[in-house]
Amino acid sequence: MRIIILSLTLLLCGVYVTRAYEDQTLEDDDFAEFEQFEADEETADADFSEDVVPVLKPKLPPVKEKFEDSSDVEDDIIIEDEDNEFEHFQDPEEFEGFQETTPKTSEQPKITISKVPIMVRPRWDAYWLEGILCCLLAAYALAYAIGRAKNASIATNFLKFHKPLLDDNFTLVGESGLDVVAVCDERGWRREAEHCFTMWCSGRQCCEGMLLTLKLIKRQDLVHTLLGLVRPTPDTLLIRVELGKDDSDPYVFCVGQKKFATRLGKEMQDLSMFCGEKRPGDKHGLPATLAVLSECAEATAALLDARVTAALEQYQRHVQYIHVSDRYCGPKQMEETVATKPPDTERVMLVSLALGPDGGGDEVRPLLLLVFYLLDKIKRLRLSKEALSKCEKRRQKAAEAWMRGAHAARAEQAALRREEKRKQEKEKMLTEDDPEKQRRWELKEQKRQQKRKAPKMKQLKVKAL
Amino acid sequence: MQLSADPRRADRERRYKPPPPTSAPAEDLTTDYMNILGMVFSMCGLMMRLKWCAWTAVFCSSISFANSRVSDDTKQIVSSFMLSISAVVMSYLQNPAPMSPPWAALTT
Repeated sequence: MRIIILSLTLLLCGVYVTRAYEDQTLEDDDFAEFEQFEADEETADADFSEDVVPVLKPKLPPVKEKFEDSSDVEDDIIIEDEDNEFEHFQDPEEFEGFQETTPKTSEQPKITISKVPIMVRPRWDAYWLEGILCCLLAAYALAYAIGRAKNASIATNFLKFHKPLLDDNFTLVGESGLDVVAVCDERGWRREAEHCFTMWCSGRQCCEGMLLTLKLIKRQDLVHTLLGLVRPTPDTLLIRVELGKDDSDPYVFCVGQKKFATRLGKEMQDLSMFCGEKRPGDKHGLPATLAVLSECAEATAALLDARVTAALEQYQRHVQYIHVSDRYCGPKQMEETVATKPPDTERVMLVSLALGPDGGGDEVRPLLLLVFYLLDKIKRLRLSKEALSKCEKRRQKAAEAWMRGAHAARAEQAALRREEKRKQEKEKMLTEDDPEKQRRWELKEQKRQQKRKAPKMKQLKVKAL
Repeated sequence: MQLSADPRRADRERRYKPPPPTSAPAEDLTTDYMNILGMVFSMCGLMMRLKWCAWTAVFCSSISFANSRVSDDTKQIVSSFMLSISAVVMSYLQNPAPMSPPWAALTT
């Protein structure tokens, strides 16, 4: 029993002691001295609360109250501090106009919120310009589809009407394959572009082959179609006949509409080199709208016989030009490109025909027949000895002139190369460390310059008699 | 102008050989010009956020496509198209406001 009472008393004492210890620990916590400091301040300040807060009392509730009650008082305290610490700011001699500029803390600044228009998503009708552009794109796409179909139908119609004639003249007409425009899986045009079709025909006497190029109006391009309304251009059929070595004599001849003849005479190398002046068609029994460029009068007279003249007169609107050449090498080369080897020349007959509206009609067949007739004529035509020798002489002269030109060009190139080499040598010498070497090079260079400047004289050794 | 005898000669049949580029007539350069223009307008549309530039680029690409030859590089045309369309899309993503006509700027 005693033991129980003793233990109970011990337990109670233990509890008491621990409680007392806990109070002690609370008392000397880390913030205790600050509380003490605050308390001192409070007592020092007469305006502050008159109550003396006991130090050992639990501090938290009174402190909270203090903050709640004396929010404006706290400001005063801060101002007091500022007064003490930054008193010199208030000195009117230190800062001019400081008082005026300091904002008054008591008045709240008035904030005016302007009315911003509420952003509403723009309506679809605001996009009218985009709509127009989209419509234009759609129109372009539609024009593309229609124009493409139209051009393809022109090409197939050409085959329908004129392929029998081509089959009668050539063993091989057209191509078969994937991208071919043809009637019922036959051989036909090769599509180069939506407005350009080509067809190779071969296996005929008097020529190696014939390339037909159907150059149609760019109907698939709406911009070109609209431009065509301002400046109309026709569909054209370009015929390029490649002649064999023995299929023609050496001469250059061209007959065509005046503007084409003038242009070709200026642009084409063979015509500008071998043919003289452009002669009007009247002098050869042709309509005045045509002009003739020819190297050999004999060849002109032979080619422009009664049948050809009649055909040209009848289809003068459709024949743009007929160009026969044994030295065809295309348009003139640019001046900048210095040729060091002679250009490749070909024996060709080029015919350009302007087709009627919608790819031509009845005029194409007689013009194709004219081409075949001319082929046979060129094969049969043999120049007289004098004319032939004259033509050969002109070719020889042209070859010599070209050789001279090429030699001059080569010499120029060599001089340029020498100059470049000398420059490099000079730079190398300038960077050289050895002054002796540099001196020697300078002497050598001076000698060379003197030698160049000195007049060239031949030394004649006269033997003493 | 009728021809009498059969002119066909199977022994003279030759395969097609494209003419040398020097002797060919001047090529149509519309495709190349339009391609370059399209690229320039696309870049302007993308960098300067000019909507009309982007739309012009789309039209240039369309013209380039319509005038292109079969032998032309398809990749180039496709890339030109993609670039111009992306220019339009990007310019409207950045600023969805509708395009104003050029005369609107003059009147205001």
